[in-house]
Amino acid sequence: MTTRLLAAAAPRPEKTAVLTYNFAYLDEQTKRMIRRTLLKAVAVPGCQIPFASREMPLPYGWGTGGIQVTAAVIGRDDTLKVIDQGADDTTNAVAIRAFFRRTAGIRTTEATAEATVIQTRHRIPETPLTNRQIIVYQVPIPEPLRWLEARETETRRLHALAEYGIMHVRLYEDIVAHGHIATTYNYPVLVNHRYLMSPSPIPKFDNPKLHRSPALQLFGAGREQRIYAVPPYTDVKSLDFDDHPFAIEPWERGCDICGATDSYLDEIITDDRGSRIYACSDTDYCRRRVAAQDAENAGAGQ
Amino acid sequence: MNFSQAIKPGFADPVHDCQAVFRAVLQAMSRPGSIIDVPAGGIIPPAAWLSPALVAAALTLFDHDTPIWITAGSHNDEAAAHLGTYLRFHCGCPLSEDPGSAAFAIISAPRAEDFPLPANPGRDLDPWHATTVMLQVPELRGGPPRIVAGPGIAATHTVRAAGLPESFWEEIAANRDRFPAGFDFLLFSGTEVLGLPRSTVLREISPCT
Repeated sequence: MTTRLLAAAAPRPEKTAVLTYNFAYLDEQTKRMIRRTLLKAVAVPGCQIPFASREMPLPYGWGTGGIQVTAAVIGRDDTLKVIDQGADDTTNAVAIRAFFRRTAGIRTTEATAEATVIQTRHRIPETPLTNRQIIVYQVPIPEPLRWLEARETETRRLHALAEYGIMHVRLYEDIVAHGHIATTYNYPVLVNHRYLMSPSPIPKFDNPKLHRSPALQLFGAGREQRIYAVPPYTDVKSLDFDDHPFAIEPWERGCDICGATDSYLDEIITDDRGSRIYACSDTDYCRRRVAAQDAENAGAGQ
Repeated sequence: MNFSQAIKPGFADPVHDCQAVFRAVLQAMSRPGSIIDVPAGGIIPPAAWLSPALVAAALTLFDHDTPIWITAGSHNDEAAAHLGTYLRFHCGCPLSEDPGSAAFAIISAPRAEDFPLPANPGRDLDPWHATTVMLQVPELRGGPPRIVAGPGIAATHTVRAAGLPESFWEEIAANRDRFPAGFDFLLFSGTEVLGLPRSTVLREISPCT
């Protein structure tokens, strides 16, 4: 009996192991370096600021840049939401939420409105962001001109001179080949009328949400070692031409689950015979709409 | 006075105190002109006339990678040396005699002759090398009004920081011409901070009609 009681009172090894990490995994010197970079990034909106990206306990391409930015800003009082392609329940999102729960002991949520920090891959939530929120984007290729000019020395010079003609030529070539600008994601934007910026591979459907957003938007590219930012209420213009203005794609149908016609839809194959449904990519938005409809129906039934 | 008496303590809980102070500074930088509370409660400044918010921000952002240039302004050199000793002890930051190589500049009581700043505004090719300038002012409210606009500001914002010479506002105006190079300013008073990054532009005060 005595031995059993002692065993129960002994600290659990996995709990003590968790406590050996610094808060939010990164060491304080790294956080300071990232924090200084973030202040510069906010002061020069859209400008890619180099930073000494660290190795993280997951591969490049899985959000190492976003995680480092989140780790540098997040505190004990924050509530974190992580989405991957709009969904809270995909591997990357679940793993990153668990990472910060374990290393920082912070609250996590799937509800956009409850979050104070939102880390995202490839989407902006449909629920409008507020001025209390920070959204952190995971960025694979921060340089919008990279596929047009491979040399970093040259792209840096083009940014210094605000010489973005080659990007307009690329969009013009789209019009020549397809009759319209065929770029549908990672659509280049001009920030504060000065810097050409990659919005990360969000669909162009989300580009209007970048413009004058009340939330602070931070972008982290781990492999490419760049951080950039868009402060709140900053003009973000999607590049276009007078006779081919920027437009987001219209949907011919609504979400098959919640009926939303104003949200970005994913095509989901449901069997081997080619059946498919279209559903909101933002799972939180979709679930909330269904819950509201259920509540309404329940109210009507009474 | 022995060593332990000379140097006041830093943060009681460095990890979480730094995080909270950083968020305040980030808020100030991303919402220019807004007065932001710095949770600097536990800080005892190395000199009574120093703003706890300025000291807290310094402890949060400085380390061995950031040369610091301190100019006492209207305060005496001994006071500046005292602050330098404190920061070297807590942050391990080198103190620089050369403002052009400083990552941060501290001006504890700005005078007209402090501007234009001799620090480094960076270049268009590498605007991130610019010196970040931390100024202590007597009051963030109650000074002459200046209208600012730009990223982080929904429409316009009125800044009423006191104790700033006209040459400071000329430096802010110069930021517009040299953008993306330029100086980012953090104004501290007591436990508050107000940011004026280089993206912020001055607007003329329109006469009442």
